Amino acid sequence: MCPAYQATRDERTSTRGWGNTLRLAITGQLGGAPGSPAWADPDVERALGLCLSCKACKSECPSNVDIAKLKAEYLAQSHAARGQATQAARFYAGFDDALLWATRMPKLANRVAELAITRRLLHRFVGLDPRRSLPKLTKPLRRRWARRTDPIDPTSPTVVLLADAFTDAFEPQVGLATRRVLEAFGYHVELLHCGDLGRAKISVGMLGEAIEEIEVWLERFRPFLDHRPDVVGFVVCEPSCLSAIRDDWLELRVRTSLERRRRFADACFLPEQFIERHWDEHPRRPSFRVPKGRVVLHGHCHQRALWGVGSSGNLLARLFGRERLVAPETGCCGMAGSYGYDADKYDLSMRVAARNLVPTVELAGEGDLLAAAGTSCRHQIFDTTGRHALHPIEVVANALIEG
Amino acid sequence: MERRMNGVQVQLGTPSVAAPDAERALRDLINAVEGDVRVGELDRKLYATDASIYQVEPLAVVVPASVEDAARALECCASHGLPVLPRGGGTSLAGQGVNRAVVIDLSANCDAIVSLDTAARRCRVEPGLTPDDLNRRIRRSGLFFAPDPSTVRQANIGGCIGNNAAGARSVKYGRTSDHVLGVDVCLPDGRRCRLDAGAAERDPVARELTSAVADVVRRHATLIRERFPRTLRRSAGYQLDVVLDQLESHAGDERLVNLAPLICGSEGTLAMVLGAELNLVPEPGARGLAVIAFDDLDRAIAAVPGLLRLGPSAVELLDDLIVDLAKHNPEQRRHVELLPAPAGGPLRAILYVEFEEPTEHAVDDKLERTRALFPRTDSALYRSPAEMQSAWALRRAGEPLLHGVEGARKPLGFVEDNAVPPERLGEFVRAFRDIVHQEGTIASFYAHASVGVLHVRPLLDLRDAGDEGRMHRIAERAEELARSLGGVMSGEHGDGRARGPLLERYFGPELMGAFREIKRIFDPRAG
Repeated sequence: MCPAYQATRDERTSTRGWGNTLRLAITGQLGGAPGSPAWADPDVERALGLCLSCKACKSECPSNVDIAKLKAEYLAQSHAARGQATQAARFYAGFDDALLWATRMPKLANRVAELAITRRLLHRFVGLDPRRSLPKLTKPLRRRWARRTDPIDPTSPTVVLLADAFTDAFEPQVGLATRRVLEAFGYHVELLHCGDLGRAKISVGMLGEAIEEIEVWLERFRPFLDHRPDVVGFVVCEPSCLSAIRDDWLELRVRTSLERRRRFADACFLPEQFIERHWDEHPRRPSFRVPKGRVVLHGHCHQRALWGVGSSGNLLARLFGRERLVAPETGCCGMAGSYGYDADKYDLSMRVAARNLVPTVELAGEGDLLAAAGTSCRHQIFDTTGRHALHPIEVVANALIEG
Repeated sequence: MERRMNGVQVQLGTPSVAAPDAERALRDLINAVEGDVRVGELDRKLYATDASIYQVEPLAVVVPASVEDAARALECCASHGLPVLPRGGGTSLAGQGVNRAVVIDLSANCDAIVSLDTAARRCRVEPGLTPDDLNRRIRRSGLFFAPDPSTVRQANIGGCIGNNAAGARSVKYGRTSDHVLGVDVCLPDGRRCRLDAGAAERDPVARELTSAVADVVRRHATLIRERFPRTLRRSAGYQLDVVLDQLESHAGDERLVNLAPLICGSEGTLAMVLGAELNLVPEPGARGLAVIAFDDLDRAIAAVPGLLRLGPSAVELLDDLIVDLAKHNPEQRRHVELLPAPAGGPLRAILYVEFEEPTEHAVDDKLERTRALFPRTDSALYRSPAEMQSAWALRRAGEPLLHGVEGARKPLGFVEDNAVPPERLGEFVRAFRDIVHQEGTIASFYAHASVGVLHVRPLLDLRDAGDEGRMHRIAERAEELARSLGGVMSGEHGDGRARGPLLERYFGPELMGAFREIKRIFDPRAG
């Protein structure tokens, strides 16, 4: 069920409420001009803004309603009616490019981000809630990647790590863990920076811009699909970026043929999902030590709605035993990308976390490990409980017996 | 008028109201209530729909901060003569959740379990709690609240009382009114009282109400016995038959009459429920589920009486339209894949037969006897909670799945709640199908077969005037058909807007007059 509704029991924040809002707006039952669609209606935008875009309705609603998709379309129509996207929308849509710049000088960028004036400006112009901690930039993955010798046999199959902007800028250790694990399984790992694959543009309804961006990525990935028989798969650490490829890209009106998009989507996985799916085909089979405690796993909402939490959990269960994995069926953590940063939605974000996320985190005792595939989920875990969660592939990497 | 909700200071839509003197009334309401008072256009339109086919804009929406706050809201509305409609999860199927009134939404902040007495197997709850949350929170006690409408995760206890909800297991556990020991109510004039056993001896307000209700019931006793349906499931009109039962069992002593069962099924028209004392039942020792596939709907229905002799806790029916829709739903598809295949041909209907027994052994025995009844058909037997949950998920999704039908004609709920004696269900289905076919459409069928409740939804397009006429004709003919078979048109979803207009046809003018008298006892200003 819709996590926002579970937390609030409020018609305003329910799948039905948003469905009705859209129906009333599109059928001209709202606002001053009866009969014509109410695009760019501030109330409709405010109401839809409360949707987490977690896609739970897409799989759970028996009426097959996908509010996240409808919301994006409504916002896109509204931007068109208004002539341009809102300030906050443009800020978030350009965030992945901004990260690319900021990570050239991460220390300076962090210092600027910490300035009181920056927080005030972000609050004023983007609506960023001052109570939120900001993620810290670090030396990005793309600058930590190079090394002198590649220990892998040149005939090994290749896995392309699509380094999403968040892994690259904030959590390069997740990318490095991915490489360690894939190499241990006998793969050559190639790094390709990929921004956020259009995720932010899609969620703020800048669909035209998203489509342009998607075309660019598809063109960049084309050689790997067409001319690189050594490439056996692509992995993306951030579930909301993977879901862009595997869900949104297939539904948007992108010029590249659907068949090609589907072919690419079918080759993309979370790293742990890739390992699990190809278990019998890996060039090597490394050994793992079983951690002392249990692994408590919080599934990302897109992961849960589209592929099931097993896409992270099955590998952990295989390596450590099913009894060591605790993966309750909880929904969205409430952070949902930029959602939880928004001052208007901070309280709701916290209420969703209190209902869905915190009880899961509390299942993890002293000796247990806490895992969550989503960068927002890990951030939300920290902001609500002060605890640090790992990406599932980090849990796997830490258990690797290297030899 | 700005208030904080979810951290957002908003009125969604331009504030406006359309009641006489409403401006002042609403200002008073906003001052009186601690919670949210929403008068914006979008907010009002969000509460203009429930799970029915109706859209009626409320005057305003109140989301009270507590049950006390809800009572304050009602009192304020009463002082201004504004009509009030209490609302829970908004899952009513016949339009009970919408009206031109101040809607008081109790679902957000009135969901506490006030007390739990495990030894006495009872608990006291606020009205905005869902049965699912209640049962989750008291799981450790080994007890549960038995009524289980398919919306247990959204519907509220207050709404279960309002509509006298039942659910799949009502053949064993009965209806909500069988599990409500008492209710704390706020009357339409703002007065408060508790209605339970012995209330009339303690409380002057309760005494006055009980005595007046008993008087109406006594005067109409003969007609009540003659005209009220005798089906296990019935939710048409006020439950005067239950009050009469009480009077008779207490040798006419009206002081011993408990009015709580009368509040059950009154659809918010007599009082707003602020709290309820509920009866809880122990979890059975073991459960098992048989799912049987049929290549013919009639054959599935004909099997029901035989199954009932085995003493199941539920017998549920789904037709092929719902199964086909489920195949196209990402979540439900996996449940469909688990279904057995009928021997004769393509799947046309499924029966779910559930048993609750003291031991696993007894469940196994019942399941095997069920299988033996259908030697030619493939039946799946489930004993693990996870498997049963998966199988039930499809049945629960039945109604919402129907919204996914493609085309202009949608399966509409207006004759979706007929109840007939289970042994006449086959007859009913055949005649009903004829009615629908004569009107040039088809219908989907799903049912609580165990208690003869058939949720049938003809496919119609209400934007088409012809179909609107068809809807009225089908409704009237269905009412006649149910009545002629000893049944009733409102089995468990209640009357609401959909079947309210049929009440006089069903009960006749005298009993309709009695219902109006009952309404005036609780709400003297009612016309």
